[in-house]
Amino acid sequence: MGLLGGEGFSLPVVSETEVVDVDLNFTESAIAALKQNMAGDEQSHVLIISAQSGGCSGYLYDMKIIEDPGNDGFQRIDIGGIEVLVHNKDSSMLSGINIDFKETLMGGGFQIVNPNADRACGCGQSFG
Amino acid sequence: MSPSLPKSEFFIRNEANTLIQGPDSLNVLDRIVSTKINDMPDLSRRNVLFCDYNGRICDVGTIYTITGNLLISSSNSQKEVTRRKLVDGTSWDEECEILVADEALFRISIFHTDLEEIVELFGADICDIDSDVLFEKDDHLFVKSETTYGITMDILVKFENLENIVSILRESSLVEMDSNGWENFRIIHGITEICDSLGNLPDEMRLTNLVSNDKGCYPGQEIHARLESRGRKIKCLCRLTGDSPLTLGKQKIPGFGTISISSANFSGGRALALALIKIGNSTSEFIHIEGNNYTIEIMGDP
Repeated sequence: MGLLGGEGFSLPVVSETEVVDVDLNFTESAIAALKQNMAGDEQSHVLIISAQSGGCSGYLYDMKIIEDPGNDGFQRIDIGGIEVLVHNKDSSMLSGINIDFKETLMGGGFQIVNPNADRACGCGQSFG
Repeated sequence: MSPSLPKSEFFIRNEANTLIQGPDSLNVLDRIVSTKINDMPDLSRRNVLFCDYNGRICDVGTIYTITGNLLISSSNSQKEVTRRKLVDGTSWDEECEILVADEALFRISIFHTDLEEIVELFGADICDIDSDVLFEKDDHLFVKSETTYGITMDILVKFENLENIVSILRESSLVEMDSNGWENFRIIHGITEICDSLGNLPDEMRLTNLVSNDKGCYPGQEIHARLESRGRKIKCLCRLTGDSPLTLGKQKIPGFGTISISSANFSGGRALALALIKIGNSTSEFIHIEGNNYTIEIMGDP
C-alpha cells in the first residue's frame, strides 16, 4: 500500500484562483506581427498567452500559437480577427497587459508591459 | 560551549505537508526553488529554499520523491504562500495537482539515533542505507541524515499509524521531546527554522548549500549569483548563552550595534538564543543585554 496509498487517503486539492474578465491591449505593430506569425491559420489556430512560475521575479510569460484546444477554462478575446486566449487561472495576473512588437536586431519581438506587476526582470520575460 | 549530548530523543515535527502529483510536478517545483531538484532520483530527499526576487528566504522545505509523487514538508507559517506559488506557477498545459496533506502525513525525527535500536523496533534493515535515501517498510518511510550532531533518522508516517509508531517509541528507551525541548535542542545545535530565516539571505543562515548556482533562473537567482561572485557577508548567525531569559526581536545594544534575536529558550536556568549580528561586531565574546551578560558564539556550518 505504501505511505501515499490505501483507502481513505484522499486529500483536499488546492486550486482556488481569482478569475477576472481579461482585457488585452495590442499595439498596431503587435497585431501586424501576430497576423504574420499566424500565416493564414486564423480559423484553426489561436494565440495563448499564459504565465508560469520561474524567472528572476517569480513568473514568466509564455506565448504560443497552437491549434485551438477547445478548452472551457480559457477566456477568448478577438484581436483583429485572431482569437487570443488567456486561461482563467492566469486572468488576474495578465488582465490589462499591453503587448507591443519591436523590430530590432537585439531584444526585438513581442514585449509585454504588465500593470499588475510590482517588478520585472531586465530581460522583460519575468515579472512578479 | 560544548553541549552535553542527550540520549536518543524523538520529536514529532509540526510542519505543513503538501503532496504534488502529476508528470510535470518536478519541473513546476524546480522553477520555484533555489535548489536544483530536477535530477532527484526516486525515493530520495533534498532540502530546498523558496526565496523572493531579492534573494531573501520566504520558506524552507524538504522534498521527498515518492514513486512519481513529490511530498514537500515546509513551514506552517508560510504554507499558504508557498502553495499559492505552486498553484499559480503551474501552466495551463502542465499536469500538476497540489494537495494538502497536513493532517495525513507526519514526520518523526529521532536524534542521536542508535540504528540497531530502530532495526529492532521496526524490523527495518536501515543500517546500511545512504543519507537522504528513502527506505520503505510497511507503510512508513525511513530516511537518515548525518549531521555535526550525529545521525538523525526521520520516519514518515500516515496519520492512521502515528499513534502506533509513537507508542512503540515511547515504550522503548527513546525520550520524547516536547516543543520546549525541541527549541532548546535546535538552538544548541544551530538548527534554524523559518522564524530565524524568514527575510534573511541564505549565506547569513549558513544555507548556501541550498543555493544551486548552476540551475538557471529562479526567484532570487540574480542576487544569489552576485553574492556568490563578489558579495561580502554582512551579518552572521550566533548563539547567545546566559542566565536570564532573552526577548525575541531587534535591539540596539550600546557599544555593540543591532542584534536580532529570532529564537530564544530558557530551561534549567540557562537562556539560549539564536541571533543575527553584524560581522564587524562578532569579535566580541560577550554582549550585555538589559543588565545581563551573555556569551556570543558564531555558528559554524550546520
